[in-house]
Amino acid sequence: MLPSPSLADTISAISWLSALLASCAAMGFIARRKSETFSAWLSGGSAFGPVITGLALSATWMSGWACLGLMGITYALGWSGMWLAGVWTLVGIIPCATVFGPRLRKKFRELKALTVPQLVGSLYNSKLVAATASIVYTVLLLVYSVGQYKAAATVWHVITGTPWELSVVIGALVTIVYMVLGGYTGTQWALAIQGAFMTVACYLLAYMALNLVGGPVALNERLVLQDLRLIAPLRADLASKPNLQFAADVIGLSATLGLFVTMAVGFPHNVARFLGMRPLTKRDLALMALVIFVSSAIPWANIITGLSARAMFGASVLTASPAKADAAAPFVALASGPMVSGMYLAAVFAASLSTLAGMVLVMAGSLTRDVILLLRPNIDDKKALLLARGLVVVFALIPLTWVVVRPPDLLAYLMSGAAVGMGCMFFFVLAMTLYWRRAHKYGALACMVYGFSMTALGGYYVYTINAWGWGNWWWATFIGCAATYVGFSLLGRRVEERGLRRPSN
Amino acid sequence: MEDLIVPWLCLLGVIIASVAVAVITAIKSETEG
Repeated sequence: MLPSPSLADTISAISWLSALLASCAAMGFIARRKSETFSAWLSGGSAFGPVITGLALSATWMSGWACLGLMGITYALGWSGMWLAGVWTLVGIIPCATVFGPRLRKKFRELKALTVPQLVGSLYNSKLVAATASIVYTVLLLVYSVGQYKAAATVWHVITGTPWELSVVIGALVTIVYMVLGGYTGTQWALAIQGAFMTVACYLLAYMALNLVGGPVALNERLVLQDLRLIAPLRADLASKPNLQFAADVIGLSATLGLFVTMAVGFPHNVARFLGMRPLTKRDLALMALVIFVSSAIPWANIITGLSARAMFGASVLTASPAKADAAAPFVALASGPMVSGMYLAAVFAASLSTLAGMVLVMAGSLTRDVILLLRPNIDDKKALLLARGLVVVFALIPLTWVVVRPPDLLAYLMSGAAVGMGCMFFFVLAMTLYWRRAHKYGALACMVYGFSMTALGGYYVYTINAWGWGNWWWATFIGCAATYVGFSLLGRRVEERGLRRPSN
Repeated sequence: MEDLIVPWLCLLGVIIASVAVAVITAIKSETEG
């Protein structure tokens, strides 16, 4: 029997959400004085320590999907869903922070880069690479941000039983306010608050869920009573469904590990968190790793919540809500009482809006700095700031419109594969280039063209007509990106070396 | 009964691997301070 929302759930939801949004908006107002020039608005003051950077990174890393859709996967598939449902979260994000983080910070300073695409372009000393990266990021982030609004809408609808439109619009408007006013600094502070909030809420929900089913052993006993396959670590029976290959075989499983490693450092909204970080000592770095370890491990808790939902409610959630399996965690929250349901609702908003804010800041800042200022270098500082602030509004509202109105087909295909594409492309184009000196702009451009094409093809062949295996597609994207990046880089170097030799001959 | 523990062991394995990654990368990282 599924729980129903009560007035107490709605009141709790409104209270928690108001508290969260008010504290985030306050950060925007406090930070507005530090964001009065375009460069200060774009990059902050480089004074953020390990705790705030760690929490902000966790907040952008944990999307609305991580706090909602992830539970839906383990709810629908059982334990075999955990491989895609973020079980590798720390294997991805910890090296991003401890290995790439300090190096990225150093590169941002050395190359005087204020945006992630600008950093990418500077690594290759190429404005074309910067502009291409900016456009690729903008398109993929724009479609990826649709999912953030959808998560917030779903949790509101299931927990309060009322229409979601007003709550999501208010959430978007508050996010716009603190971003426009506070820029990078205000957003980084708001992200830290959101990161801390969702950490507490998700652990609490998992604890309540496991208590409701009677503990770890009872959880699996109840799953087995429904279907023995729900406790299998891999389900061979899913091999007939290509888009579920991540839960069916070793190729799919290994692709989930690769996905989380590449996404962590491939997402520009993650990388941008190191832009405002101060130099770290060994002790700072250990503290940051600890903060991230606790706050970015919430998918482990969420996996348990999803499984507990299955143990408690059987398959009934699948038909009870238009959100299908994604409604699993909100129903667990309802069963845990109004205090928890409201807090969890605000946590999903925190997860969604934080990822959205991180992405919108990358898009608005980068489009202004790396494309518009490149084409019109005479624009003064005040106009550039105004332009970037205006673009924040545009980039926050476009995906909101798409949640209501169906986006064009190509964008819908890109939406499904955006995380895979961004991860695979920028793992090489950005992260590997920090270490490989022979990387060349031809390699970066070829890798982006290939990765972008595979993203669109995957959206169609994997998610729409269900013809390609998910794991095969991920590996083809990853290996192809590696091959084009290395192959065309070597070719570019050879062409350059020949060009240098010719005048002396 | 054994089957019931297997998924928990998988999760535990990933948690141990994550701790190892965190410790190793934090020790090996290049800091500036």
